[in-house]
Amino acid sequence: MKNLRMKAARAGKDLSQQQLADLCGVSRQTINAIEKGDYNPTISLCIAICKALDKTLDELFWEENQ
Amino acid sequence: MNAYTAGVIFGILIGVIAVACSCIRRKRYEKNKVHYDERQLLVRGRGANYGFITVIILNMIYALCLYSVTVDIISPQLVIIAIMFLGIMVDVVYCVLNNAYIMVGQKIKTWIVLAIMVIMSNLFAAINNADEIDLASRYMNGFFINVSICVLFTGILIAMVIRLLLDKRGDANEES
Repeated sequence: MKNLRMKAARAGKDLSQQQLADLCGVSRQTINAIEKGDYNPTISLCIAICKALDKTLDELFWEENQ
Repeated sequence: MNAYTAGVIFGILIGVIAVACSCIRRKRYEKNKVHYDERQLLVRGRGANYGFITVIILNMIYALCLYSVTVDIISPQLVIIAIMFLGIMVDVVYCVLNNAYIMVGQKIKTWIVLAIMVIMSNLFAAINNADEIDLASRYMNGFFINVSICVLFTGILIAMVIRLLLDKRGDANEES
């Protein structure tokens, strides 16, 4: 499932995928895979992304209410 | 010890020293700069699995179906080595196409240049060893090794170029 909240948070901070990847210590393609829903990151990477985007885990990675 | 043997030993020593210096330099200066991220490690594990399965299947096909038919045409040693190279190519190409071959912090263009250098040097050696062509010979020869390495690295180079073009498109619209 696509992670549009993460993409929106990244856009809100005016960061490219490469810039976010550099902040989190991963490749750009990993960030892209997470946003497209092709890869589920580990909790440590989730935390690193949240810190880079100033968001909480719930805001970015919790399941959306149906 | 004749000059050829001395040359081979010297060449191996130079290669080992070069690899050791590269590893030491990498550990000392780049230990925090280049690494595989978690997704890349997963992909590399899958790539190794696919390469292993490729080798197993091809070896089974050759042993069960093709050995008796081809034993007088091509040496079994060459076939086994060729299957090994095919397994390596499957693994590496899978990793390259899934962005798991180049570490975070490394540049793909450096590896493209290295691949071209390896292809050129082995092509040159293969041309010089062309008089050794004898597929039915029971033993490995320099020509076959050089050609195998050329084919392997050509496949890797093509995969890297495709990956580079896809990444450039991805950087433009962040969709790949």
